[in-house]
Amino acid sequence: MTLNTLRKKLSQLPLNQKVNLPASCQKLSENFLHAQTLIRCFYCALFFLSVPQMREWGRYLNHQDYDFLWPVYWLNWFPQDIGIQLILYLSLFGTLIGALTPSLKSARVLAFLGVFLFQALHNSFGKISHSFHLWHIIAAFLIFLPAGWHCITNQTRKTKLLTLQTIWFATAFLLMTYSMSGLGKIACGIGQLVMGDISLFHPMSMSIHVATRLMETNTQSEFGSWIVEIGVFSWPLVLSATYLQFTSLICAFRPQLMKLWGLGLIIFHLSVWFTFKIPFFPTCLIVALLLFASPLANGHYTWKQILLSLPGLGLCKFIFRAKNEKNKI
Amino acid sequence: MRHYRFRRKVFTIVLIAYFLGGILFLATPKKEIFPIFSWFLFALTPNPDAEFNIRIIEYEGKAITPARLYNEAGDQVKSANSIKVPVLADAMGKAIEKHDLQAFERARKVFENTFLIHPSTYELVEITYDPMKRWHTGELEITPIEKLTTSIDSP
Repeated sequence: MTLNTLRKKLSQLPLNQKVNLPASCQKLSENFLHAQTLIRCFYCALFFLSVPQMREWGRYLNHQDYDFLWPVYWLNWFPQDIGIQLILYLSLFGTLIGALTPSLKSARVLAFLGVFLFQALHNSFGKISHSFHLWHIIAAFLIFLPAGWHCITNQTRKTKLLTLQTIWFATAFLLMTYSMSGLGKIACGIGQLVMGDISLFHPMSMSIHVATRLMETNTQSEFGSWIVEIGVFSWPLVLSATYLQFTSLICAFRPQLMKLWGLGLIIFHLSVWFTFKIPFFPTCLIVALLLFASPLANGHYTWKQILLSLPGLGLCKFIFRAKNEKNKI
Repeated sequence: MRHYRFRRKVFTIVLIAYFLGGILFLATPKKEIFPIFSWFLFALTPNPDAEFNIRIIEYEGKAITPARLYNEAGDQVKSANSIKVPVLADAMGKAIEKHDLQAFERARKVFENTFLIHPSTYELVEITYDPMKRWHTGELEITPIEKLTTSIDSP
């Protein structure tokens, strides 16, 4: 099966239909205008998220024993104070320049470098946290926006296509990370099941996860104790979260699902906060930007269209039909 | 359209490479190489098992009786609720198991200077528990591994 066939299958399009765009992106000019606004919002948000980090600058400057990650490993051979100050100022002014002139590729590179190096420094304390990963990786994708993407008039079809293509791949990347997370849960769940351990497929799995995390950090959360107490009744929550995550990438091919999945993923992150006390706040913002305000999900879809395109439904139909045919024979 | 198709191929390769990289780097000591990550968060359901942790024995010259696990030590440590401490304790414990003194000292330095108030005496311990039993009864087994004091050259 070629990638093209796979794309059409995931997009639920007939195999003989020609698709030359990020799936179902028909109203090119209108979608392009949305993309322009989205990109500007992305860089403003990136700057907005960099500003509160200034409160922590003292901590980075006063700290002595880092376990530097590779992007900032050079700080081991460079005057540390100066190097760290360079990174901190680059993160602030790089994102500011990015927000001011996202039309310039050099400004987008600066914004990316600022966030990337800052995150590398921030994660040089022995453990890597992942709440900001999506921002700098998507900033890396947006470096490759075509020249002239920002112009209001005289846009060529090529520029519009390339701009939407970049946005589509950034969105696909975001959704792929969730699918990887879902895949991890399923694969490790099967592994543990085979080993005879308690796994995702055990009705108490959610309660055990929450109890372990809250004891590990000695914290309390709004719904944590309740989730532990209800035991088996919390199982559907972890199963739905796994379905939502695992099938996320499919939504990149079905724009009608993007807003629904965006909502689901944000509710998922909020639930994680209310039960585990793990903050993924910057991730909520990027999910909202790329899925709620996606130029690719610009159409009007009925509930029927949305429900019929739910991932897994086609597979269920296929199995049901195959069984029916088998029975007929 | 040639340029469009070329970029489509390159971006697709990038996505596939990230996916494969994320999975492959699970084999590295930190299970990831920044920023490539498998995103396998909470993938394993915790089972009754042993894990490394830190127990605080003395704080500014005063003995803590009974000694407390780091996350139960409240204001006698810098950040009792941090999830980074069990991760650093794990790094220290695994370094001892592998007799890797360099990795042990690296994790120890980061831990002491980021999470301890000086001077402190603490123990690297191994704790064994059943999560649900510990939740309801507080029952856990603690085995001391190594007693340590914050380095003299620490702030």
